[in-house]
Amino acid sequence: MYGQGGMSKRQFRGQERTPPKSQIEAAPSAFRQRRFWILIGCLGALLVGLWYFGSLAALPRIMVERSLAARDFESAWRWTDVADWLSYRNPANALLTARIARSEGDAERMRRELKRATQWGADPQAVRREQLLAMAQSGQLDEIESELMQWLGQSAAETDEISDAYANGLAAQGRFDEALGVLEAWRKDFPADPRPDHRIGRIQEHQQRYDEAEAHYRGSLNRQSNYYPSRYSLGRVLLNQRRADEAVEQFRQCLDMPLPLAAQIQLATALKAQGKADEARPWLKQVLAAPPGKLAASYRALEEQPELFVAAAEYGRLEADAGNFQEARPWLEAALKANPLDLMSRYALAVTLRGLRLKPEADEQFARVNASREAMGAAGELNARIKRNPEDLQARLNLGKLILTHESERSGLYWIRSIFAYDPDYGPAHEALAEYFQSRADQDPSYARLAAQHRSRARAAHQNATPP
Amino acid sequence: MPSSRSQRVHSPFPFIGLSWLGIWLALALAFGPGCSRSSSPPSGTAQSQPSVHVVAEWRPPRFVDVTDASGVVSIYRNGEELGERSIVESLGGGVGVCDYDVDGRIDLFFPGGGTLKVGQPLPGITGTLWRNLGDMRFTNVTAPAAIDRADHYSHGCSIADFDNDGFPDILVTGYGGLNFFRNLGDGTFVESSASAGLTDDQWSSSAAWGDFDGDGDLDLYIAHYVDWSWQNHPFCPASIAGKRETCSPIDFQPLADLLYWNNGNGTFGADPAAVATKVGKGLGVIAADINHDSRVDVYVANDTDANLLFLNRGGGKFEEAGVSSGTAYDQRGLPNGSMGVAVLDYDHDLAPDLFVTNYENETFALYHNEGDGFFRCLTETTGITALGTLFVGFGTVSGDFTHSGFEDLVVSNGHVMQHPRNSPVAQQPLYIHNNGRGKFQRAQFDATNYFSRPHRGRGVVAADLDGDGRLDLVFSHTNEPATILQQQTDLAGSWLGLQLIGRRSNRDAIGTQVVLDTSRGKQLRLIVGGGSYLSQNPYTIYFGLPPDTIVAGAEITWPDGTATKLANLRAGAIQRLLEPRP
Repeated sequence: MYGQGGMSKRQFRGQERTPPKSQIEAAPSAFRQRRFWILIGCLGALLVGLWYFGSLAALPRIMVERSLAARDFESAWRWTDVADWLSYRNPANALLTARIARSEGDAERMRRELKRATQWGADPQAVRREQLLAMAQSGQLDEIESELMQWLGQSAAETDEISDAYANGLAAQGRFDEALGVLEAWRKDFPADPRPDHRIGRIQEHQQRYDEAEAHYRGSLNRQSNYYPSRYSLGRVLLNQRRADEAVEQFRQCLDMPLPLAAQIQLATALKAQGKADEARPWLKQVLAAPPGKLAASYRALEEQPELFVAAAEYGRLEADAGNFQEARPWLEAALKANPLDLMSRYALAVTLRGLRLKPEADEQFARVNASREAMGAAGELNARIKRNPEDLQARLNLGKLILTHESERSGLYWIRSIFAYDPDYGPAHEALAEYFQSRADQDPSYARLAAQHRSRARAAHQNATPP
Repeated sequence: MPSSRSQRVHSPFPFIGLSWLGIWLALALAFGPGCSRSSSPPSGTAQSQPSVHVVAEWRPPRFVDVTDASGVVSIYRNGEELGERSIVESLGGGVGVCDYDVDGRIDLFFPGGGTLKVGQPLPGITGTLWRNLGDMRFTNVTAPAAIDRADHYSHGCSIADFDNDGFPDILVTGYGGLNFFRNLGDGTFVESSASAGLTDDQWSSSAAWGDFDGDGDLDLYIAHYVDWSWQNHPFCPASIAGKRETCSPIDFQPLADLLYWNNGNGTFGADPAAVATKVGKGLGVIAADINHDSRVDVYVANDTDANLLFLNRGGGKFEEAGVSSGTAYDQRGLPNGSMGVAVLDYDHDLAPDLFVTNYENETFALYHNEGDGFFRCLTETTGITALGTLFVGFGTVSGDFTHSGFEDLVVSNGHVMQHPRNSPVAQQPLYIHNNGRGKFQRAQFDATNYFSRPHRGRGVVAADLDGDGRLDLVFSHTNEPATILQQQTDLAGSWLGLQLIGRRSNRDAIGTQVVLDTSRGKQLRLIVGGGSYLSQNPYTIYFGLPPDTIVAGAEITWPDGTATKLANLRAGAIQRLLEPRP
């Protein structure tokens, strides 16, 4: 560098120096070198200081929040790893991790992170607020509602998080009008946020007010065209209304999201509804080849409950419809193993077995479907009773138990929990939930805890009801 | 000149800031969300095509509304002006066709409906009988024919020659009882429900004639609906606050259907047990030999309950096989709000398939006959699901309207509620074209056409009212005039009609199967009892013949299983064929 004609530095130093053409071309002076190392030292000190005080993790935490807002949980977890690496045992990191877990519905992980946050000195109020949000989100509003409303009134910065969790909790309890009120207020305060319209649409969709749901999903997309939960939901509503062509359009646009597997399943369903089974098939095969973790992440990104065997069920049904019974059978059997209450798949399996001329096996499956359908025949009347008198708690309980047994655990639990909006101490509902959670305590440690809670509430209700 | 390098290092903080930012930017690139990417379609995916498949070579038939010119004025009244929103008002009325005076021209009958008085029996409104004068003109002969009587709030009609005297008799169903008008053969009728033993007092909807015991006389299957009464008339809230709405059938219990055995002497004997093994909220019923065992079976379209398939096992016994046959539920394994039913062989595999109309948020169901008493619901793969929007389907008929060689479907739609949330009260009817390659698609008509306008549709029948070989349509509505559509399509090809007359079998030959052998393949037709919704189609069967089709012959399987082979059939005419004597 310093030499001419290939001389080394040592050789050059021994040479008579040729004066530089300009100072710019002069070798760095000792001063410059010192200054360079001073700057490096300052930078290092700054970094150490930032690390020591935990500020180094600020930017990754910002990235976590952005990823959370975009429902990109994989990215959010990656940034928390970075934040943890940069600022070990940082309570702010633990709080954010708890929030990710809450957003994913992982209550156990959330609890662990909040415990860590507390141990590391997190603001107790911040911890409490995460707990409140989690309880609200899952519909456990009875004990915390007033506290939540107070917080909502005080905190402008977190209005969206609080409104979201609160509305979710109200909806989980069947208090839809109140939930809509909270969401409308959120919508007014945050006109650019696509989420309130999406949540409103979900409630209306549940209430079978499809036109209104569609309008709100479209409103959400007007605010943010790449808000995929709304586009996915819009597609679903269109599909439910037999507007398969329009549904296909929406699901195709969802393919632009980072993890489109869940949307691919719906796209295949919509293509099937158009009579294009051959186009649907490859999409389903692609989903079936993907790791389950990716599929679950895809659902979460759409704010949907992961339904890991929907693709298998859809594929099985597609092949059954096409008369490819040999191909259909293993997929349907797998789908049923994962979800024995999936009556659609069970029926498709019955048809498949019949198509394979396995009449006794087919008849057995038909009989099981028929038994469930006949049992569910009472559901219509119960539903009618509830419509006429929403406070018919016995009807809600009976309906919930019926659905829990024959159709869907999630829907069944929803109906049972909806009782608490009218009577938080309704003993039979607590008993039913205690029984449900106890039977699944080996699947999830939190279930044993929930079972105990509901047993305790049931006992208390019984004691209060028993005359002295 | 100052060193630019020294200028660049003048302030350390921007340098630090830039470096700090640079680190994070680098990290962001390393760990941040991946670039968004479109999922490429997996291999084997066809390029997406425009959603509507345009079949250039097929045009919808040309139907012209000739109601005004025909002279027919018939409005089914349901009593909704009282504002009670009873479920009775939701069923509506049907339409029946027959040649009551055996003059070779098809006449029309419309039940009249009824009114409501709270707490009182429901008064009926007289139906109307219209004599065909030719050239699509009709005259009201209700009074002269002595059929101007309605003892009950009426719904449907089912017409057949129950006593094999050559003259069709008319059964009218309804709430609280039946009216049975026996044709005296002189242009008049006599109400004979009591004397014939047809004393059913339940709420009846559709009915179907069929010789279920093979004795040569037509028996009668009556579908019953639900246990509504003024004492069981709940308040169901509308979507509009404070308003009352028609209750759903799920608010009520089903009523068991009823079978009447024809005693052969002008009377019937009720057999409640014959078909009481399974109950449902029956709205549509069809009697046909579904499994080709020369016994007439019964398929019942139930509202919100599983549909029923009563397979005739002989000796007056039925086996209910809806679930195990695959015809009880839709492709999701769910019971639907089923109303109307048609039988057709849409894919020319010579096995009768079933088409059922359903409630909104459900698809109409197409059950493909796989043989061996088994059906598969192929609603999606045949394109039925893609018909679009939400229809509440009632009456339905199949027919080769355009002489394509394949039967299309027509559906009459209309909501049952006063304030529905998801689709309008009045709805467009549907003409669903069978492309002959296993797919159906909705035909589009110009804006002024009947098919493009909304109606409170209920019943529909297809009949060649003017004897020109082109099938016409008659629709019944609720509180809206019935409509007669004359088909005026300039059709290529030809047609062939067969009117079969039983001698050993029932005179109307219900239960017969006919396979027409042509140079373009074979076509199957069944002579059925019941069908559509609350309505009666003619028993004459029509075959469409595309251009240059040569008819080789036909094979008729009569209700008792004996077969007759025919040759030298003439296209372009209706041929009357007598069943061979034993």
